[in-house]
Amino acid sequence: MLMYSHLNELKQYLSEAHRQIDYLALKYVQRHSQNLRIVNERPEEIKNEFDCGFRLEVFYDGHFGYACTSDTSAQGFQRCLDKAIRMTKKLSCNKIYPFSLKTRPKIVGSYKSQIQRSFDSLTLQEIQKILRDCTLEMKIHDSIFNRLAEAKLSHLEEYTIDSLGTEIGQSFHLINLDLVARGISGNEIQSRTSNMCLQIGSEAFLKNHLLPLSKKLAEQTLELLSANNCPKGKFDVILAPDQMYMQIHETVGHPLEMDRILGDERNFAGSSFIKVSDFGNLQYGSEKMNITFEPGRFSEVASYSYDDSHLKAEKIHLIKNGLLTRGLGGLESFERSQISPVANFRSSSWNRAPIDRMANLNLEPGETPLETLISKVENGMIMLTNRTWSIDDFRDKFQFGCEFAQVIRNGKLQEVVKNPNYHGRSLEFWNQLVDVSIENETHGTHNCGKGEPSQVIHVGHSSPFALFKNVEVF
Amino acid sequence: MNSTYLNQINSSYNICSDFIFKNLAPNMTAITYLEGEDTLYVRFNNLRVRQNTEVEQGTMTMTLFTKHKSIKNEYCLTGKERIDLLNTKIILRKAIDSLNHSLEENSSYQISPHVTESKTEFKAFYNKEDIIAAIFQDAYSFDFNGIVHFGPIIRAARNSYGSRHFFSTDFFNLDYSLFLGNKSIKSLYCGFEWDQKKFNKNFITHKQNLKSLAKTTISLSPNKYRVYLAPTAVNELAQMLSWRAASQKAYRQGNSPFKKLIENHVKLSKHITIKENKTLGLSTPFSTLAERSMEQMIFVENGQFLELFTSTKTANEYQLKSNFADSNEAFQSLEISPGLLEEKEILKSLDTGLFISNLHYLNWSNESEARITGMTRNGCFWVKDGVIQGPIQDLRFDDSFYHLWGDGLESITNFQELEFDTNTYDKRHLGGKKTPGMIINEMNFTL
Ligand SMILES: [Zn+2]
Repeated sequence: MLMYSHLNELKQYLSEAHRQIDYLALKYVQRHSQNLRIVNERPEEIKNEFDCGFRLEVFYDGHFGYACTSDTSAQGFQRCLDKAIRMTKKLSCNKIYPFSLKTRPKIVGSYKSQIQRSFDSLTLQEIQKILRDCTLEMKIHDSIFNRLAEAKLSHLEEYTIDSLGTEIGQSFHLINLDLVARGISGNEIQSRTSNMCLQIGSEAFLKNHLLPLSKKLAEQTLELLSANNCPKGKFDVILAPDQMYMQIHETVGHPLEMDRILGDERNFAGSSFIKVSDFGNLQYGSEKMNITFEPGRFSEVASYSYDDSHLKAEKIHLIKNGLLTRGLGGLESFERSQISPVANFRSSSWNRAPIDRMANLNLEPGETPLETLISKVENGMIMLTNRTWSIDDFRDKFQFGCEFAQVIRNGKLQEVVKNPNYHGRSLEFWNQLVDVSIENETHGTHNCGKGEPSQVIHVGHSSPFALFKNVEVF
Repeated sequence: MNSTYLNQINSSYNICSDFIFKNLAPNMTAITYLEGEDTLYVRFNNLRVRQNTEVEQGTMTMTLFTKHKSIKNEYCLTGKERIDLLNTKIILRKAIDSLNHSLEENSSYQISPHVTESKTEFKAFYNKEDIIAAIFQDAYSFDFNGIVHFGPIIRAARNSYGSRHFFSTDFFNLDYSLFLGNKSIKSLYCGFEWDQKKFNKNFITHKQNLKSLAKTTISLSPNKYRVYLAPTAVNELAQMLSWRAASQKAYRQGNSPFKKLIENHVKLSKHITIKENKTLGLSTPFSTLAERSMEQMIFVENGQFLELFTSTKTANEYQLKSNFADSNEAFQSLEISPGLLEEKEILKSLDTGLFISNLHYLNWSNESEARITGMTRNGCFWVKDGVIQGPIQDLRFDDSFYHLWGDGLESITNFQELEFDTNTYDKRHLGGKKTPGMIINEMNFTL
């Protein structure tokens, strides 16, 4: 690691400064990422990122304000502190809400990603070779002209300390791995992709898993190149977990974010069709719908012990048997709305203030094997892998496209069809959920964007296969 | 520059760059790049402050390459020379080691050895606290929601051939919506110089527009409708071109949604001209590769495809001519040429249809057909016989650029609007777009 580690000095500056203001907290973040990308068996530019800085949080007269810098020296700390105090005092008379310091409980604790093999256990070239072999496995036909394997390994260290004695250290190892097989036939281009986004160590680079997967993607791309377009009309549709994660994300996760419901996001990411009065009352979906906030699930990408307001992360049902019970709001949103909090007050890094976020947000699996789910479909299809997504600013009218679909007739899988799209409205759609499978997969994205100023953060979604009836497909 | 932090960062950057260029391995070339800002963000909800955040950040990028290998290292600077130099030494050593132990790339990574230099500085004529005070005063009776950010931004690029570029700017960017219940209108006010009178006047216009918004909401069934897309809505459409669409590399890898246009299987309307126009002054006149950018690149002229962004690296890989595009091969200052339709003729010309101020959450629905989907948002109205009837319930559309900007395009306004990029993901982004409004005879709404 680089020479940024001034944590002990920063602790001392904080202890000397805390008398200047009602409350003072510091979050220090250090991140190292390495990105390796192979196209058609040859690497492209290697990319490393080393990021480091800290954020000061000051509290004055019920208002929280922030100042952040990459200058970790004593001067940097003092300059930042002066800025934060000055602007926070000035703006506190127009604050959104008079928060209490109950929104910053005193905590001493830690977290570490559970990984089996350290990032160092494979050399740069060993990883490059595994990725290269993935693209080689895709080379099954001349038409598979663009073969990509890309991995990003990130190691994050975060420390939070405050003037009340809080001390939290959290350490994360994340890997994002993408495989793409792209094929061409005449003017037609089709792709199959696979994404892994997990808290995991170098055990992610398992050849026995990645090589057959790469080959399968290429084979499915070939199938798509000779497939017919997806039929239009109303069908019963099984969505695979690698599509469901986006369905959960866009039509459950975002609408349940309390900062959207309280209006903070209205100018940018948007609002929500959910109102504060809906909690405890609204039938969000069918009885088969069970949504949990679970930031402690093994290997899921947004697992942690504490959020940025020091709230302990616990598994909580947000939707139980279809009934909406809780939202995605942290301690600040709890004071504003009185809806019980979850530990979701998160920031993307040291240079952004925390806001309400998803973390791991999961659809609980059921008891029906996928085979049985398929056998229940008389006239419909199964769709795999999200390709495109769009939803309105109240999170109601959505449209998704998938990479690959297979028609189901009389309970049997039939021909492959290409370019499947479907659209619908959030509540109506979730109430059309017929059943969920026992099989379950964990997906995630490191690209969830919102906030002013804007920030992207990683979120995880576990999901079974899910059968919806009467879906408008085109 | 009026920022202690940025002055220190810039000085550190130059010292570290000198060190890198002096200590390269044989046959190695290097580029360094600097991005820095000293920003205040104030976020509002219902004209109350949700959060205020000041951010000092400075990131240096060191790119090293030999004939068939390259490595890019991005690291933050502290502005303290001793620490930054120490980190630079560690990173340089590790990077050279990584290059020695990595596999060979497809293409030879070269940049032009031609030495270029530039220095551009835009000064600020505003005061942060006056702007915040003006917001509280003028937006007093409104449900005001959004963000204002301001402060200096710097960019610099150098390479081991001796090219040297510096850019600094300082502007405010006020991005807000005014709400009437769930209905809203959106506005943007950005610039280097704050004009209090102009700001006051904006709110007088907003009051008028809110009156139209107060009318009963009209719920339309999905159908094909005649539409007027205001410059801000055209800006959203043009955003879809920013990434991949006009990139040589994306095209070669089968990843450009405009393949059919590029290969001349389709043409757009003869009224459509789309270009990158650096003379708008919204972004740096140099690339992250320390090459001087071309002033203009015409993507489409009178409906006909002309040129793609081609970086020197892509040019080497596919034996083409470089036009010195940045490595992301994307628009930074996109301009769509104006037409003949006058502002006062818009409603009359639209006659009966939708007046669309803004679009939201656009994404490709079928890339091979350049088909996109998205939503209407903020201030969209049903117009009958040239008269605004009332706001509409938001609709989803799904249509192709080849139709919207092809045979569907009827006329383009004779005025354009210039919008600074409002993107603040990770950092304040530079660039922007200059777009006109458009009348489209039929747009396909699906939900
Ligand atoms: Zn998201």
